[in-house]
Order: sequence, then C-alpha cells, then structure tokens
Amino acid sequence: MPNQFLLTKEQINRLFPFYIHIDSDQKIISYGEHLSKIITLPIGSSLTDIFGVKPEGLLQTPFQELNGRNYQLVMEPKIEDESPFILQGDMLCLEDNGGIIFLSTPTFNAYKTDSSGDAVLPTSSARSALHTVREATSDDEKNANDRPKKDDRIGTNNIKGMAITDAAGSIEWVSKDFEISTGYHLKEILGKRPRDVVYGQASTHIPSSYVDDMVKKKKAFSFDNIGYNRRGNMYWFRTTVQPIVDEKGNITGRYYTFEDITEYKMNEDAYRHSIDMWKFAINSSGDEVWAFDVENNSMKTSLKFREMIGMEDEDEISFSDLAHKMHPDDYKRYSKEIIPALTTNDPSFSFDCRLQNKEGKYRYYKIRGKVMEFDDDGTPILYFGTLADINKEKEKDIELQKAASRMEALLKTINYGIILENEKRELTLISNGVYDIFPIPYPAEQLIGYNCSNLANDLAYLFKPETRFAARIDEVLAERKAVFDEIMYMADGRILERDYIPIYVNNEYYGHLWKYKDITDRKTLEQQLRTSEARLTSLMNNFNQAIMFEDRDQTVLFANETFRSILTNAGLSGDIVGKKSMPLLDEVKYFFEKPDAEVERVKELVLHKTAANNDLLKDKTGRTYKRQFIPVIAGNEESGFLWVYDDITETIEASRKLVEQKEYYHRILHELPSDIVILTPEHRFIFANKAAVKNDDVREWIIGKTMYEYYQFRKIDKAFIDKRTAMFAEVLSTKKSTSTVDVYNNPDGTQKYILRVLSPFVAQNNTVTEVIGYGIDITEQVRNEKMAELQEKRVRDLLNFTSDGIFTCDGDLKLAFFNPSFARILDVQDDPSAPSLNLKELLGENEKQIIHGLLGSLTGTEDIRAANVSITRSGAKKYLEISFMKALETEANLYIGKITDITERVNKEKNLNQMIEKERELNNSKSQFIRITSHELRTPLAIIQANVEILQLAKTLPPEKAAQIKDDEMLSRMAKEVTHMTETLNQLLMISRIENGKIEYAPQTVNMNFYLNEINKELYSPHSDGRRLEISLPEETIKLKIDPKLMRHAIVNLVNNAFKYSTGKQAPTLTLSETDTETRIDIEDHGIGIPEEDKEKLFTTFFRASNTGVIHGSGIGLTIVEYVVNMHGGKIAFTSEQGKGSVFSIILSKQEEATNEENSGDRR
Amino acid sequence: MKTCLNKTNEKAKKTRSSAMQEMKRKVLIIDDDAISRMMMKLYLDTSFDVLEAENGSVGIDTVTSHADVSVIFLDLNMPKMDGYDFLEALQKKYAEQPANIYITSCSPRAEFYGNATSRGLNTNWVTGYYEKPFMMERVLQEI
Repeated sequence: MPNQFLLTKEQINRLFPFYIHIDSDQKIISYGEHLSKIITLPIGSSLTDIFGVKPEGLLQTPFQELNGRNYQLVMEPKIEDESPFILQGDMLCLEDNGGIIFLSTPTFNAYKTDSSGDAVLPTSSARSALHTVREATSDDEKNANDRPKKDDRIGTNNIKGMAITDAAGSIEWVSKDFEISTGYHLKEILGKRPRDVVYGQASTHIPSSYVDDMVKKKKAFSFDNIGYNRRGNMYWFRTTVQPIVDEKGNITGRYYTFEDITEYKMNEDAYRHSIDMWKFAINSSGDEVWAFDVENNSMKTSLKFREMIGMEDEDEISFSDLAHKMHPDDYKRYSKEIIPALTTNDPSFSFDCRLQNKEGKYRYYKIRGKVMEFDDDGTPILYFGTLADINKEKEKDIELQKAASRMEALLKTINYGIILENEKRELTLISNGVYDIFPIPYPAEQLIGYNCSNLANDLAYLFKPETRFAARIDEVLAERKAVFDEIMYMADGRILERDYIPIYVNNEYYGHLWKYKDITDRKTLEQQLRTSEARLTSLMNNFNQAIMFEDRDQTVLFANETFRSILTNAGLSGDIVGKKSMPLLDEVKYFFEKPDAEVERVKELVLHKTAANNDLLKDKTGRTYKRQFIPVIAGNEESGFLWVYDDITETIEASRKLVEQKEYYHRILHELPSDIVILTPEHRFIFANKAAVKNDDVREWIIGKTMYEYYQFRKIDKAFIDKRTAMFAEVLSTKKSTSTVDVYNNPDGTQKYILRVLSPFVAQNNTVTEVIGYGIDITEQVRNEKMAELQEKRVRDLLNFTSDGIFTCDGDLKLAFFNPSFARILDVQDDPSAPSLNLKELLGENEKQIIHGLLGSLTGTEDIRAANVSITRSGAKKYLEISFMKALETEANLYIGKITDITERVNKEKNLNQMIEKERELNNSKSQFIRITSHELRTPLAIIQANVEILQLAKTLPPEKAAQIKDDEMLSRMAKEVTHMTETLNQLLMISRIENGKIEYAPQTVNMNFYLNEINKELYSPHSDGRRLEISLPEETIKLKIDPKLMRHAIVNLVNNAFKYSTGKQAPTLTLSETDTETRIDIEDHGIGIPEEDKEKLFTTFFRASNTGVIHGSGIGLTIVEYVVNMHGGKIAFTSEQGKGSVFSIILSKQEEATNEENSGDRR
Repeated sequence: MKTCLNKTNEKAKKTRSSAMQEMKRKVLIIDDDAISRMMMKLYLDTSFDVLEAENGSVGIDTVTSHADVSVIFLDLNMPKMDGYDFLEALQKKYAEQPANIYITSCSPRAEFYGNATSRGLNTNWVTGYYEKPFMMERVLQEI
C-alpha cells in the first residue's frame, strides 16, 4: 500500500466505504459514505472521543514514528447503551502530515447475547445499521463501473474484506478489498456463495448447512477456517456471519466479513508448542530446579524442592539450610569430593546424597548442578541445578546388595551342589554341597576364578559314560537355555539331578549356575512309589466309584477312569491332572441338575474341610450320584481332598421299583373285585383287602386277630362260623383248595352268590404257611347260567315248532342235529338216537353239487347262501329251499342249515308262469293279427282303389286316351282282388273262431274220393290261374269220419298254397292213399319250396317263409290246416326242397278216428 | 302404345310358359303293380315328366340315366329288388339324396321304419310315406 494518498475522495469512498481520515491531532477530516450511514461523526471532533481505540497508545505515537508502517487498529464506538459494531482495519499514515487514514471494516457485534452466550436478535440500532450497509451497497452497485477493471485487480495472499449476500447466501455485493484480495470482480462472483470464492481448493470449513441453520436462527457467529490461497499456501482466516434482519424480523440477507488471522494463528501455535514442550520436558524428568547465588548465599528453588526438605514456607533458602538437611556423611563427601572438582573446565557435578525430609527422615536425592559463573579466582559464584528423588532406586540397590550377600551365604550352606560361573566360565561360587557330591581336593576359596571347563574334565571320570559329562556341558552352554532335572548316572551307581540356569542381567549374559543334587534315594523311592501308585491307579480305575484326589490347593492329582468317563459325559475331555478343579467344575457344572447349587456345595465342603458322605446329586441325564468328600490329613494338616462319586442310579431305580412293585401288588389286591384275606395257619389275619373289609379302621384292627374274633365282631351266627372253621381245617389237612357258594339275600329280593375259596400256600417243606381266602361274586354268572338254560329251552321250542327244517351238518353233509320239521319234510325218522344220517343220501347228484357249491361259497358266519333244489321222496317230487350258514367262525367244518318245503309255492308259480306266457302270446298274436290283416287287406284295397280311380279319371280323359284303358281287364282284376279279400277275411274269421274255441267239430262219415273230386271240380278245374289240379285217387273208395267243412278248409288251403307258390310251373298234384292204419292226402307242388331254416316255424300263425317275396299271404292258412288236422286226430307233415317244391301230407289215423273226439275242445 | 305393351307381355308369357314346359320336373314311380303306376301317372302327367319302373333294379337304372329325377315314388313289396334293396343300392351309390323319395306301400309306416333302421338304411332320405290306398290329390298337394 503506497504511503502517498493520491486518490480522490470519491475514489476512496468506492474503495474503502468505511474509511476514516483524521489529521495529526486525531480530528476527523472526513469518513466513508457507508460509514456515515451507520454513524454520524462530527467533522473536527476527536476520534478518541467517539471511539475507544486499541491499542490505546497507538494514536499518541508521534506520526514520524508511525510513518511508513501499517498498523492494525480496532475501534469501538463509545455509545452509552449499546455498541452495535466495531471498526477494524489498517491504519495508514499519510506523508507530509496528511493525517491518518483508517481503511476500516465494520463488524457488527450488535447482537445481544443471552445467558448461554448465544446471540439473539439484534438491537434495533444494529439492525438499522446493517440495513444501512445493505442499502449503501446497493447504491454502490449503480456505480459498479467505477470498480477496478479486471487488469487492475491484484489477488493477494490472503482474503479480507466484506461481502453481502441475500438471505440464501448468494453474493450481492463485495467490498473492494475483498475483490483485491480474492482477485475476483464482483460481476464474476455474483450469485455465488462467499465460501466458494474464498476457501479455495480443499479446505476445512464448517458445513454450509450449519451456517444456513445459524442464519435462520438469527444468530451472529464467527469461526476460524483454514483455506488455501491462489498460490496454494495455507492460511487462516476468520469468517463472521451476521444475518441482516428487517424491522419485521424477516431475514433479508447476510453480512460476511473475512479477516486474515494466519500470523496470529501461527504464533499462537508456535507459542503453545514451546510451552508444551517445556512443560512436558520438565514434568517427565521429574526433577526440581534450583539456582544458587554464592555471593548472596541465596538459593532459589522450585516450590516442590522446598517441600521436599520441609521448607515450603520460605521463599528463599540459604545453602547452609540445605547443608543442614544433608546427611553428615554425605555432606563430608560433598565438601571433600565435589567442590574441589568444580573447575572452569568441568563446571558440572552429579551427587547422590541423603536429605532430611519434613518428617526428619533421610531420603536419597540426586543433585545435579552446573556452575554458571566463576569469579576471577575461579571460585564458583552462581550454580544452576536440578534435584531428583532417587530414594526408591537407592533403597532397591541396598536391598539387592543385602539379598545378594544373603543368597551367597544360603547357596554356600545349601545341600545342593551349586556352582556359579561367570561368562568366562570362571568359578565365582561353589557351595559346600558340591563337596558332598564330588571328591574335590581343593577348598572353595582356592577354586574361585578356576576355569570350570577344566573342573568338568577333572570330574568327568565320575560319570558313566565318561565322555558324556563334558560333552553335555558344552552342549548346554552352547544353547544357553535353562535345563532342569537333567538325570545323570554316576559310575558308583548314584544318580544326580542337575539344573542349568543361565544368568542374564539386562539381556546380557553374565554367566550361569549349575545345581547338582544327589537323588539316588529319591529315585529308588520314586521307583517304589511308582509301582505302588500304578497298582493303586489300576485298582482305582477298576472301581465303579468315580474317584478324584486333589491337593489342598485344589489341583487335581489323580482321577480314576470312572471319574474321567463322567467328565467325558459332561463334555470335558482330556487330561485333568494338574489342573485346578474349581474351573473344571465351572466348565461341567451344567451337566448337573442344579449347577450353581453344586458349585456352592463343593466350595462349602472345601471351606469346612469336614468329611461328608451323603450328598446326593443328579445330572441332567437323570443319573444320581452319591458323593463322599474326605479331607486327607497328613500330619496335622490336610494334604488334599478325596472326592468319591458313586453312581447309584441303578440302586435307586431298583429300590424304587421294588417299592413300586410292592405298592402295585397291594393296589391290585385292594382293587380286585374279590375280597381277599390272608391268614396264618392259626387262623389269624395277615392281610385283608378293601373288598373284604371295607372299613379302614376295622381293616387295620383285624390284622393279627383270629377269624373267630372277626366273626364275633361282626356277630355272625354260629353255624356259619362252624362251617367255615371246618372248611379251614380241611384246607390245612388236605393242603388243597376248597370252595363253597354262599347265597345272600339282597334287600331287593334278588340273591347274591359268592364263591368262597380257601387256598393253602404250601411252602417248600410241605407245610402250610398261609391260607389265602377269597370270595368272588358269581351272581352274574349264576344269573347268566339260568338265563342260558331258559334261552336254550326257547331255542329248542322254536326248533320243535318251526315248520322249517333246521339242522346242523359237517362239510360232508353228515347231519349232527335236525328238528322234527326236518324229519317231516325229508321223510326221515325223527329219532335223535338213530345212527347219524347223511343229507347226501337224500339228494340227487345235481343237488349235491349245488349244495357243495353253497358251502364252498360261504365266507363268514354272517354269510347265508340259499338255493332251490328238488328231490323225490316216496314218489313225490318236492321242491325245497335250502340255506346254509357257518355255525361258528372258529369251527370251519360245522354248518347250520335250513330247509323249507316250497313245493306248493313252486307249483303255483309254474301255473302262474304258464298263464302269463299264454297271455303274452295272445297279446303278441293280436298285434300280429292286426298288422298282418291290415297289410293283407290293404294290398287288394290299394289295387281296387287304383283301378277305381283310373276308371273315374277315364271319364275326364280325352276319348283317344280313355280308349286305351281296358275297362274289362280292370274290372276282372278288381273282382279277383275282392275274392282275395274275401278269402282272407274268411281265414281271419276262421282263426278267430279257432282262437275263441268256437269251432264245432261235426264229424260224419265221408266218401273221400267223392269229397275230393267235388272240391277239385268246384275250385281247380281249372284254378283261377288257369292250371288244373292233377288229382290221383285210389280205385277203392275210402270212407273217413271227418268234418267235411273243416277238412275242406285244410285241403283248399294246402292246394291254394301249392298253386300260389308254383306260379308258372307244373300244376300241383293231390294224391289220396291208404295203409292199414292211416289215410294220407298228399299235395305236391313244383314251386319255390321252403328254406331249411324256416321249416320249423312253418305252422306258427302269421309266419311266412323268407322266400315268399311278393306272393301275397297272411301266414294264417297253415295254422288253420294244422288245427283242423289235429282236430281230426291226425297230423300234418311235409317235405320240401327249396326251388324244387314241397309235399304237404294230411295223415289221418284209422283206429283213433273215433276217440279223438274228446280232445276236440281242448285245443286252444 | 298400350296394345304394344300388351303384345310384348303376351310374348313374354308364352316364352316363359314354353320354358316351363321344357323344365317339367321328372318323377319316377317304382311299383310292380301296373295299375298303381297307371293311376299315379294319370294324376302326375299334366305337371310332371313321369318315368316308371316295375321294380327296384329298373328304378336304379332309371335314376342313373336320368340324373334330373327330382321325386321318386317307391313301393316296398316288389319282386327282384324290393323297396328296401332299392334304398340300400341308392344310398351306396349316392353320397347325398339325389331326389325326394316318397314311399307308397300297403305296409304300415312303423314297420317300414323298423325294418329300414334294422337294415342300416338312412331313413332321412325318405321325404314322405303314403300308406296304400291313399288319396292322390293329397300327394299332389304335398309334392
């Protein structure tokens, strides 16, 4: 900053809006426009009247001295009620007595603080001040062009200046010095946050959210930051943020000031470091400080120094004071040795001495000192020094020395052979014990300093093998590791144990110690001990009890296998010998049912050291152990504890079972529905169960009493007692059970039956030891028996009276039982004593099979199989329904059978069936009749109708067409069809009469020759198709008794058929012939014949052969023929071959001619 | 103008009539009874072109040679090839019904349907059934 103040007032205002310019008398010449908005400074008034200024004296300093130098100045307005801001900034002295100019920056500490020191709302004047600044800066914006051009900007090392932001923290305005120090023009950083401008890269600063938060709370605050300037150097600056609040309390912006505090921070750190260092140094040395001025005989010391020697009340002490406190011996040493040694060449000393402390006791101190000044004669006149308490170390040293000498004495007198060597293997100590072991010819005093490797060689011959001794020593020394209990065997049979202990002081090897010990006796003893111990151990291991022995410190010495197996079960494996038992118990305690109680108990036992035998404890698996605790006393002291755990689970279980069993049987005896007593042979009660004696008191009382006493007690009559006594005597003599049934009358009139049994218990020596008496209520059984009897009688009655035949038999149908009805139905003798009967004998082969089938198909006792069979007994056919069931599930070969005579029923059914069949046939033929007749009548009708229609139409036709129609032909055709219809109707009539049985059979003797000739003449000379029947009659006249009308039907039918089915073929032939017994009429044609399959059904009403085709026919004719012939006692027969022709024969018997009359009405 | 128009109409009518003459439907009567055939022919002659067959076999030939037969009257009871055989042969020969078939028979209707079904014939091909004797006027109306 140049000293020359060359800027115009306006320029200064732009650059430093808060400046104050004073003259050399501190009178105010002018001040910044912005400042004028905060505070009014009367021109010409003294600065110090208005402001308190720090540092105070600065302004009094003559200008000449200030000239050319910058000073920081802090000013605080002297306003009475509040001080809303301070001004802070550089003071600049202008040349040529131009006065002083403060380039100040206001900081508004204008916030009232509350009790906790937090700032609260600003005071009204401060608020207005801030507003003013804000307004001022916005005015300033208008003149932004006056700001330095980019090239003018500097960018200093550090940041300082001011910034105003909006409420959210975005820059609205920055001061000139801010621009200069940051190197940014306002325009470039408008809208940015100040921190983004000033912190530079990577800086530590508080989070912006915290700043925002504080602003929101309207709190002013400042904080120190580290930032990096644009040169990359770290610097410190202090940021103060003040919220700008309007009258309504709304936050309208923030006022930031930045102050470079790098130097201050640096100094502060450096100072703090050096102080810390010294404090640390002194504290850690533990020394006190003193200074001694010889000329003034005055000693300046630290307070603690004086406290040490009990002179804390004095400010100063003299050297004689100190000398007085010093132990006389030490003071002499000091005077003699130390003082003369202090020369200008070596002016320092260190001296251990005893000083009396305030209790008057001597303690050791180390006094170190240095002469700071000598006089011209070389006498010290000023000392500086320290004092340290070394009492502990000194005492330790002394203690050690004493211990060492004691140790030496001890080692020398000890039984063991001790040889101590230094690092050069020179002997430094040899104990008397060595001489007991080794024959060494030199006394101990002569051996000190003797080379021990030589000594070892001297002694080697004593050992076996000889070479081993020295070799082993070299080996051990090479390793320099402690070796204990090394066993060595001597040529004379002794056994030595040797320890080797290297001695180190502060990690430095100082030699070593050999310890030799004759253990021959011990070894022998050990051997014996080991043998007995092994025996004992194996014994112990074979114990079922778990045994553990520990020493009195509760270190396990021994545990047998059982004990270890319990531990294994508890989850603890591995060797426990040598371990402390309590931690082991802690490990396994959860194995026990009550872990903590168990631990407590063990502690208690060990504490009281009293034998305890009856501890019971349970583990988690439910096993029970009995514990014995035995303190083992050796001499007057217990040497350890013996623990024995006995697994008594099985024992307990067994005894529990025994008790349970006993209880169980007693309970059974009590619960039994029978009354039970046990008596001695002397008739005294041993036991009576609840059923025997209900009253509990009586039951108790009765034990030991005689039965007689009991009966008396119960007032039972003499006869009963005698009877029972006799029974008892009988049991005793026969040694066998006896029983009787007592009948009691119940109050309700029913009776109660008790089976009394007396049963002896015969011991091995064949004497009766006890008699067991019991009564069983058999009322139910007695009642059941009676019921069964009754039941049986009922069944018997039932069997006797039923009309069905009931029987039992085996699988071979051999009868075991049958009832009277069975005998009646099957007509066999009803004699139970008769030799066994077999049903098979009564049955035919077929029936036997049916019945075997029935038996075979039975599946269980529930299963009943029935079948109908017929048998013939005494010439009459009987129908039987026979059914079987298995008698018992268990008895495979026993069956119960039932037969029912169903002859009557079957016969009825047969009749009924016949009637139904008849009815059905009738129905069938009726519908057939209707069907056939309709067809048979329709056909001629259709023809007639067609002809009639044609004839009718002919009238309407033109003459030439009508002439084509042959009226005559048509009329004859119609006549033919009418004849046909008439025939059909006649036949139907005939059949109807036949079916209704209305045909009258009126036989008369007829000359057959004449009769047939007449028919031929009438109908077949010629037949309607023009052919003539060829008739062949015998010469002799044959006379027969026939119904000529009926027979004519038969013959005409057959002949007509013969013509009908042979159209266009040779004419049919009729032949009458006679033998001795019969007369035949054969009618033969050469027509279509009858197919083989149709022959059987030929005489069935309405049946027509399959090859009749379009030939009309009703299927009635042959029925009529058959009927007529039958009526005459004759029969109809035929032979036929399809395609060749048929011969139908009426055969009439001569003899039976007359007798057939009686059957005439029977046929349908 | 009017006469002229009438003339034209007359001409048109004539043409149509002759066209109808040419387009007379063909009817086939299969019946062994000549009288029946004659009777039916007398009735049908005026409006149909009537063909006759005395049995099923001739009927099949006729249907084959006259593909435009549109109505068949079929008797059932006939020599050589009866009505059932004819239907069977027809149904073997044609996948679809070639003409409307009317049965004319003395057999009851139910008997025919029973027999035809048991012989495996498609009775859907039978358009109508007239039990003989029947009134020809009714037949004419229906066909």
